[in-house]
Amino acid sequence: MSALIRVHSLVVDHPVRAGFLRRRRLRAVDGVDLELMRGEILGLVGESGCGKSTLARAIVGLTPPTAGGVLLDGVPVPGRRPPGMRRRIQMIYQDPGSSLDPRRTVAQTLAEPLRRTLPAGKPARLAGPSAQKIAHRTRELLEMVGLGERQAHALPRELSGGQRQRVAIARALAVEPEVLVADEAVAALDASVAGAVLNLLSDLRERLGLSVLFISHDLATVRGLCDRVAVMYLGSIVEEGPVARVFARPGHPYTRVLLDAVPSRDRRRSGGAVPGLGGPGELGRPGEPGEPGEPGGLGGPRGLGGEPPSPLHVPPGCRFHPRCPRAAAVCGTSEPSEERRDGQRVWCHFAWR
Amino acid sequence: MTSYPLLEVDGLRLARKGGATLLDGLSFAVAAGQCLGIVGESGCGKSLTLRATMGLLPAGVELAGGEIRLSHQAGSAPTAVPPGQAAGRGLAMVFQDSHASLDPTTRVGAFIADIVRRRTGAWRTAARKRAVELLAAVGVPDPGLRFHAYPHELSGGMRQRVAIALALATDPRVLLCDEPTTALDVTLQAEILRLLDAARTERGLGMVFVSHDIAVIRQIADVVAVMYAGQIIEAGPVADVLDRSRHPYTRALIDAVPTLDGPIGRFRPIAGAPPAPADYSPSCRFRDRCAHQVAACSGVVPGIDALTIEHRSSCVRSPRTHSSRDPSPYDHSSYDHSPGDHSPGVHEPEAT
Amino acid sequence: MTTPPPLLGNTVPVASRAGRAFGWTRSAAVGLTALAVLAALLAPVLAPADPAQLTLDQLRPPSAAHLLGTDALGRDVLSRLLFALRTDLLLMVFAAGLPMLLGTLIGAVAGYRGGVLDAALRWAADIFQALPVYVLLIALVFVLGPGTSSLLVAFSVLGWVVYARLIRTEVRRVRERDYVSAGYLLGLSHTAVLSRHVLPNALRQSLVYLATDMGMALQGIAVLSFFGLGVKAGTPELGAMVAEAQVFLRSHWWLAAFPGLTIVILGSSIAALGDRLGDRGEAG
Repeated sequence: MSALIRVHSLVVDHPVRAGFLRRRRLRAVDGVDLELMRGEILGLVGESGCGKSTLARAIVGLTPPTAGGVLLDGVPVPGRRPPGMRRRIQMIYQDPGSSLDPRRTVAQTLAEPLRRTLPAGKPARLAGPSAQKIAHRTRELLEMVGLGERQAHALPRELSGGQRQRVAIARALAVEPEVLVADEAVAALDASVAGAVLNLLSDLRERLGLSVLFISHDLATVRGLCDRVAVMYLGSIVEEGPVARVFARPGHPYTRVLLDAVPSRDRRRSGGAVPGLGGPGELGRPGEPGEPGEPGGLGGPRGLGGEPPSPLHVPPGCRFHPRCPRAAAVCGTSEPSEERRDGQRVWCHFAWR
Repeated sequence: MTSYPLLEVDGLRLARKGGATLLDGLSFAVAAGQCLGIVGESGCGKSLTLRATMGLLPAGVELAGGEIRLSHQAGSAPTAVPPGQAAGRGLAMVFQDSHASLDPTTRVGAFIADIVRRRTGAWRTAARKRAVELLAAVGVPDPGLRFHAYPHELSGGMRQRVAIALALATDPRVLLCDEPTTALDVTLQAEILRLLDAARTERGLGMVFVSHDIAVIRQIADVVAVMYAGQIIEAGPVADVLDRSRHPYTRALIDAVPTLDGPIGRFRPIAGAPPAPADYSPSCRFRDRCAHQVAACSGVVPGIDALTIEHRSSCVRSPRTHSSRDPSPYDHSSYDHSPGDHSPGVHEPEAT
Repeated sequence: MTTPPPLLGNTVPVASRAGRAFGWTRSAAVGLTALAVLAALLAPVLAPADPAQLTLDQLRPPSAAHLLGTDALGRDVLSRLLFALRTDLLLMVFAAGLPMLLGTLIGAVAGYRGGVLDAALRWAADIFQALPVYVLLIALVFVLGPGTSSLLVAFSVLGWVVYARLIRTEVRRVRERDYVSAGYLLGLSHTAVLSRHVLPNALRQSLVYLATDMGMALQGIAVLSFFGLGVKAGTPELGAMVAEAQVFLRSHWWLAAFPGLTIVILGSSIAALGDRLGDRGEAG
């Protein structure tokens, strides 16, 4: 398998206002290396604000990289991608309420890209593909995502959230892309509806050989859908590897914290109603970042305190160390290097420990 | 001594103005220190239930019946409150979108202090002190500093903490939570859940927690009511309902949630979609999506109430504790399996 | 049902009763505006006489022969009024439409591209905000010389800013919608994305304002013509008619009354129409 998308030392800065006439740069993505194989579903997880959406936008070409770049099939993509190159990577968005033009019916939404990409009819090449051809392909696309003729003439507001996401997927498929980037594509849906959309993604991968970058904060979903997973923290990848391995034997403390925070549908956490995150800080005492590692008060796993720090103040050394339950002196001074084990890569001084 | 519930909602009925029934005589009760989880898909009416209890009806929806009873003192029987007036009388609410409960133009501390003052008539300085205490109690770091922040200056997790402080400022006896963690990351979700749980145990609050997420309900609730199409279709202690579900819908709802343990396979969505309120029928509303349909499903199948914590289900195939109706053969193997145990027959094969 | 009290600053949507009570005013506004447009369109058919035809029947009060009387030159006031409606409505459409066109173009590009252009627009908008628009309008027409073209130039120069601001804000909002970036990824150029997906979804507020603005433009045209800065002398125009009638205000009331009333009623009807559109916009 060859890498269809190779992201190398990608850096994306956002300018931010910091008071009157003062501008700062916020490093949303900080030197990310990532590969997406052909036909693979790669999960990208992390807390909100960790830069995963920015990374996605940089990969599809909506945000220009500050440094580093993206190789598509081994070819570096230019900062401004020509239309043909843009079509090769399509995006599925989070908010079903915003992903479709509210003034257009489903058929109109699908016809627009088709008008440009379907081969034109014989008599007049300028006229583009015939209406018949477009209608046929529209039907095909709708069927592919599990929708019917009935929805073709509906406006987005007449569709349910799950149906809108299906239309968004159909629209992306209209230009026959090689990669889908799904940014929290099912986060706004009920578990059941989400499950159906995820099964669809999985089927499309099989049928069309699509590669999918699946961005999510829901680890259980990533486990069920993805082949590999990358964990992102504060602009950097901290762990990456096959889903089964990473979830069974997380090498990075942050991955472990994320996994421990996922509520189980089958079990109540031991020792208390709710996982003992944030240390012993009960009501009245917040778990503070950087607190020394005391054991969790409720007998559960120890976790994070406070909130993810802002990318405006990236800590020195390992960027996770102020919140890390395993942090030692070295973590605050030197950046961890990559540790490899069985196809799993971890950036931590104390990987797997 | 008989212990009375703090909040009783009895036969709550809501309808669109001159139109379809949205909630079908919903009943539930919450005792002090107890958390009732209400779970169901979007559109089943769970949020509406909570809002109606609070007295917040969306435009175009009207109360068509039912009574809300609140206990005003510990140990006293709950008495009926006029519709729409429960808000000031011991009920407070936390919303999914923390923006909804905060005033964008008012500093969060001042807003809380104002509520405290209106509630207790305390002096300005005392109210301020109380507000800072509340902010500290919900885990806002540097509460003295954050007192002066505007809502938009806070992160989502911090805003939700402030919203909880605001709800606690009214000294409620029952806290209504409408998907308070849905918009948050898992790490923050865990912390907010812990915070709510602590508030409940320390203050002896009654709590109604609405969520679409079975896993969240499992963590926070003692008693759960499963809603479908405007009715409660199964209710009881969390462990009983989730581990020994009697209603196929409950089982399907649980199975639809992916897990971190157990086998990896295809996701298991529930086929079909819930009926629209206009199509609500007196028969079982889930029957068209149900794999275990029998003739009796087309008869009259009312929802159940959650006034007691007894495990019950509206499914005609499940054993009933109250009904003298003919005990329909209850197929144990089909949905009374332990968690994580997905027999290969039920499991869809992986696509090849 | 009783309306529940707002909780913790959370506002409860309440059906607007005011909307229903003023319903008839709005229907009247629609009716009157439609009537005026119809009358203007059919002026050549409806007018009993040639509006420019001088006769010796001067300063006649309303009668069966001349429903609204005649003016100092013996012209039929009703006929002049009908043709004046034509002039004014046409001028109104351009006096409000041209600024909208200009403002939409500038605002759309500034809002979509951002950067220097956007900063310049905001800067210009702030300056215009502080200017006394009506004084400038009169001054500008005065400098350009009276006439319809300078009238339209003046309206455009001073009127585009409001539209540019409205459109800019809306475009910036719509630009963030996911379907916009989806359109770009599907291979549309930025121009195509802007014109097909962004603008159509950003126009509503401007259209509402346009309706309100037309009412104001109508009054502005009448005022300028009243001062002799608008249409060419002799052209039937409402403001000019009132101006001509000034001398006869006490002795021959009908000369000023009918065009004056028309300006007031038509102006407020069109403005009310704008409000109605605005309410609909909020509801939808």
